[in-house]
Amino acid sequence: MQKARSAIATTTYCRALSGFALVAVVCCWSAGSAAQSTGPSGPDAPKRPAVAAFSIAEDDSPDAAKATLPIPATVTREQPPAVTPPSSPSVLQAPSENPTTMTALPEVAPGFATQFPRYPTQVDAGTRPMQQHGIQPLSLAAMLDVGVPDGVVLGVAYRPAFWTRLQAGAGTNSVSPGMRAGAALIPFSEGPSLTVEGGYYFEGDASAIVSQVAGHSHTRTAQQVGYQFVNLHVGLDFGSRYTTFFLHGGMTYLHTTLHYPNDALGGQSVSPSGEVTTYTFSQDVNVGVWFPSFKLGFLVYIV
Amino acid sequence: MKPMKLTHLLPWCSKSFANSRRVFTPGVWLLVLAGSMLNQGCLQAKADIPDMEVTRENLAIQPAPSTLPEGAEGTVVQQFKYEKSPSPLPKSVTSDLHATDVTITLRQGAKDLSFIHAAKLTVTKPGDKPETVLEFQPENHQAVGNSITLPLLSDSDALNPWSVDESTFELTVTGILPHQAWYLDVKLSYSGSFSYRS
Repeated sequence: MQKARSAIATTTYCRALSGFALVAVVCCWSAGSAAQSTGPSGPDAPKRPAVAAFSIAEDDSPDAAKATLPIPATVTREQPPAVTPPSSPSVLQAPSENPTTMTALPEVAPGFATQFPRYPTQVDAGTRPMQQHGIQPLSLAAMLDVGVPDGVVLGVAYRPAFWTRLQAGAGTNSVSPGMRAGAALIPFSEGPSLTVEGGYYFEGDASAIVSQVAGHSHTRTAQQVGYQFVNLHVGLDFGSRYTTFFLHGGMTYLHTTLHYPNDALGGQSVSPSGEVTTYTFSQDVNVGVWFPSFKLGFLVYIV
Repeated sequence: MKPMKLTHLLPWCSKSFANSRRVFTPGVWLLVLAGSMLNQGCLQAKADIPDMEVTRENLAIQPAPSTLPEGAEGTVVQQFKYEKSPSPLPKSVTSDLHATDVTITLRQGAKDLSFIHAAKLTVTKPGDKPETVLEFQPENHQAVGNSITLPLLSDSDALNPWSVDESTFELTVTGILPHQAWYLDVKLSYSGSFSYRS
C-alpha cells in the first residue's frame, strides 16, 4: 500500500515536472524565435539594434535609399566593419537651417541604408523610446480591469505620449453601473506608474450584499447605495507592444450618502422603567472614507 | 499587417521585458512602500451628521405641592437621564457632536407652557459639578405656546450621549405650577460627525 502511494506520487510529480518543462521549452522557443526574428545571427553578423527587423521589413519605400540620420555619431557607432563604404568615407552634411538633422549624401555605398533601421525622420517626443528601436508604438487600447472599489471596468485607453495614458470606461460593482476616467503617468514607458482616477457609481439596491455581510438589511438605506471615488495609485505596468498588464495599489477616497439614516442608525431606547429616548436623523448622512484599494487589469493595443 | 507572435502577447517572453528590470526595481519598491502603508492602517472614515436629535419622551413632572395655594408661584425640580442609543457605536468610533439647542414640548397636563416664569436645565457628568446649559426667563407678555426652543448656553461634553457613559439632567421650573402631573418632551439637537480610524 505504501509503495503504491509512493508510485502514484512519483508519477504525479514526474507529470507535473514534464508539464513544467514543456511550458519552459515553449517559452524559450518563443523568446528565441523573437530574438531570431530581429536579424541574422552568428559571429559575422553585423551588430545592430535587435529590433531593426521591424523597420527593415517595412522599408520598401524609395525614400529608404536616402537615410535620414538624426545623430551622426549613431551611424559611426553602429556601422559594421564588413560593410564600411569603400574608398570615400560617408559625408554627412548638416542643413544649415536645422543643425540636428543630417542627411547622408549619395557617396554612401549602394544598399548601405538598408543595413540600418529606418530612423524616424522626425523625432517625436511622445513616442521616442519605441521609435529609437524602430518600433511604431500603438496608442489606442481596449482595457479591462477589476478592483476595489472600481468593480469590473471595461474601457478604452489612449496614449498621447509614451509617459502618459488617458483612460475611461464603464463598469459595474455588482450593485449598479458606473463610470470611471483618469490618467496614468508612466515615466519609463513601462515599470512604475502613478495613476489618478475618478469614478461614479449610480445608486442601486445593495440589500442582498448588506444582509450577507451584516446579517440583516436596513431596507431603505441599503436600497439606495451609490458612491463617488478618487483613486491615487502607484503600481507596475509591464507589457509588450500589443499588451500591457498592470497591478495598481494605493489609497481611495470614497464619498457616499446614507439615505434614510433613521433606518440604520436611529431608533428608540426604552429603560427598564419604561422611559423612552428617541434618536432621530432628520437629514441624510454624508460619509467619506479613505481606504486602501487595488486594481489589476490589462490593455490590448489595437491602433 | 504583420502576424502577431507569442512574444507580442506575453511580455515576459520578450527581450524588452528582461531589459526593463531597471525600471521595475523602483516600481517594486513603490509597491512595497504602498503595502507597508496599508499595514500601518490607513482606513479612515468620517460621517457628517448635519442634524441629529435625541429626545427624552414623556418626561413626567411632579405637580405643585398640595400645600401651595392656588395661583401661587412654586418651583419643581425633576431629574432624568437619556437612555443609550439603540445603535451603539463601536469603541473605535469617536463622536464629535455638538449640542446646538434644546426644545421643550408640552405633551399633556397643562394648557400650554405660559405658566413657566423661569426654567433651568443642568447636566452633570459622573464625578463632576453640574453645568448649566439652559436658562429661560420669558419677558413680560411674551407669548409662550406648547413648545420652547432655546440655544444652549454651553457645549458640554456631558451632553454627548456617545462620549459620556451616563449624564444626569436636572430641570428646574419656576412658575404657577399645575396641581396635577404634567409631561414634557425634552429634545436636544446635535450636529457634528462620527469618525473612525484604524
